[in-house]
Amino acid sequence: MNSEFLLTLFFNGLVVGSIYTLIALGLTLVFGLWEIPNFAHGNIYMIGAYLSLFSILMFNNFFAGSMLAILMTTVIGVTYYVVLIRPLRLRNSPEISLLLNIIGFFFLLFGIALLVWGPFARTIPPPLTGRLEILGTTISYGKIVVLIVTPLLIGMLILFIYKTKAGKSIRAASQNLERAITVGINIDKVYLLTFGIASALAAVAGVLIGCIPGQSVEPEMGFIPLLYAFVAVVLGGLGSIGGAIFGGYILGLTRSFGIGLTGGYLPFIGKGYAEVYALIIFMIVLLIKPTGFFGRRLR
Amino acid sequence: MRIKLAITIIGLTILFLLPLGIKNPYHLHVLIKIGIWIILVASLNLIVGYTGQISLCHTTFYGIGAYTSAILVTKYDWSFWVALPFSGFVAALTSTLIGYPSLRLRGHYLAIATLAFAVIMHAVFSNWEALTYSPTGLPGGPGFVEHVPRPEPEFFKSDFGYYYLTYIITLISLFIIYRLVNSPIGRTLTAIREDEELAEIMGLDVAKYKFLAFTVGCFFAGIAGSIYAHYIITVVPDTFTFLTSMDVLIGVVVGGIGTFFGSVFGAIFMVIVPEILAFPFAETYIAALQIIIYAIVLIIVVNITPKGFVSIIQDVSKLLASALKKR
Repeated sequence: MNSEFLLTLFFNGLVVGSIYTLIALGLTLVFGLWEIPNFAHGNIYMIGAYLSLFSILMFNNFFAGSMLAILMTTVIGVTYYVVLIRPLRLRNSPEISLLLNIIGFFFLLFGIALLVWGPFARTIPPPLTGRLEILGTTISYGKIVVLIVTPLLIGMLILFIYKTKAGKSIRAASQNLERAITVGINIDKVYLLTFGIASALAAVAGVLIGCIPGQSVEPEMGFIPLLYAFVAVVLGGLGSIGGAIFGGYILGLTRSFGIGLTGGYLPFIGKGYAEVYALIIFMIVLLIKPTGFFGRRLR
Repeated sequence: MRIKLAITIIGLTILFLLPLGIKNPYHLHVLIKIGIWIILVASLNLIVGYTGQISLCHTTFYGIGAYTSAILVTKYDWSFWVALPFSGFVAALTSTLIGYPSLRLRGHYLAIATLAFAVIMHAVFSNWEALTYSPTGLPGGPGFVEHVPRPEPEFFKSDFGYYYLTYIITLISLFIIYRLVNSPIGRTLTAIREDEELAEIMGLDVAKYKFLAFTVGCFFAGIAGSIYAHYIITVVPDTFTFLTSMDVLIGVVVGGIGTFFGSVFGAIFMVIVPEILAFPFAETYIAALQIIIYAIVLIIVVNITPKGFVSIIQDVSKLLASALKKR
């Protein structure tokens, strides 16, 4: 157990955590407005990754391709909101209809990806190759990109939410919907904006995963990150941005160190449970303190 | 009422005589699959349709039943007839692990918790040594239980006989659920679904009834699992994921949430779609198209006819009835 190995685990944890955080931020923003467990979000990330793969290949230009992919994915996310979520909100439909619509879109995205691109994994040609030597270990440039871009984006998001009028209206709506309406905030625009931002963040995560050499895209790629993102959001507190960031990075590190150090061992039952550690912690937290560490009170 | 009775009797007769007229053994396979699915959908309907709780881990209990039955009969030489109800009880018992603490969780929290549970248990199925078995000592993969034998009376060893076994158990299960749902307990469950807070205020012990519905639903999922294990002969973990749980949920919704016959329709729909797709389409496309069709039908049903197929049929029959009266 040398320091080089631990350092590698640490960096990998941060990288994975960055992806989870970006997805979790999207989830928590939507959760803040309306208590929607947007399962489909994980597949928005997946679609973002696939679209970036193909538009980069088509244009042979990383930047153009990824911008296009982010745009398309955001449009998909917003359309999803307008067609499936918004009508239910306006009609005040029961919770279960909403959940079913979400599950339906989740399946739809999955099925389409499966149909168009097939069930097998494809590797993405990363835009940057080469590794950097740092502190005794090496790390690929792609991962460095992720490690830099993510905090930048998070910073931009926080600036937006706290400093701009639109951002403040989102905060207002998530704190108290009725009062926000009374004050004259256009809730419809708030929702649209929030879904747009969430989808864009997930799309960026999809692009970023493509920067990492050796990563592959497959239709199921959204499932595990989605689950981890949910855990992050619940741990951090629904609607809490800080919580999502905290949760995302902590989970990334837990996963990296968990797999790296123990190979996924659970007492009595044996090996192979790496994915599951976080989930077990999650279930315990959920059942003991559903509001999470930084969350608001449950209604 | 009389019409329903007549339909039921005709239906049962057809059910009984059907395999005698079937030449293609594959059709028998599909029918057995439908029988198992009916139990799955009806039991989930109890949890979701009647009580209004979301469960995304129903096939997990299906799996617990399947593995329990398979292991007990292969490794420990139990008789299928004892293993069958026992599997149901094991599934019900395990369901308390998640059922009891989840009582306090509302809608979407419950959904996420059951999702997490499904993923955890799938990892357990895939990795727990005790759940892997092969008589040759070389199982095909982790979590595989192979050579699960058919039950004793010789008749049931063939697919033909197993059809009857499946449907006898399916009918008994449906009967129990039917009685439950049409009793005061059933009405309490519906009250909880409609407005949980109101039910509490009115003095109903909501937690107890939610728990009851969940446990009974999981019991029958376990029973279905046992039937499945002894039919399919090899049990593999990938059958029991949150995705397959979502499939059962789609079956419940499409057939008609909270309606009894809806479960039957939903089950038939879910099994038939891939079979129909098999004709024009190549293998590689079937899985994808199946998922897309499920998704589209689910979305249509949720947004346009929330009561599912059954309500469409009811509306059509009402139209017919009034048209006939006008004559």
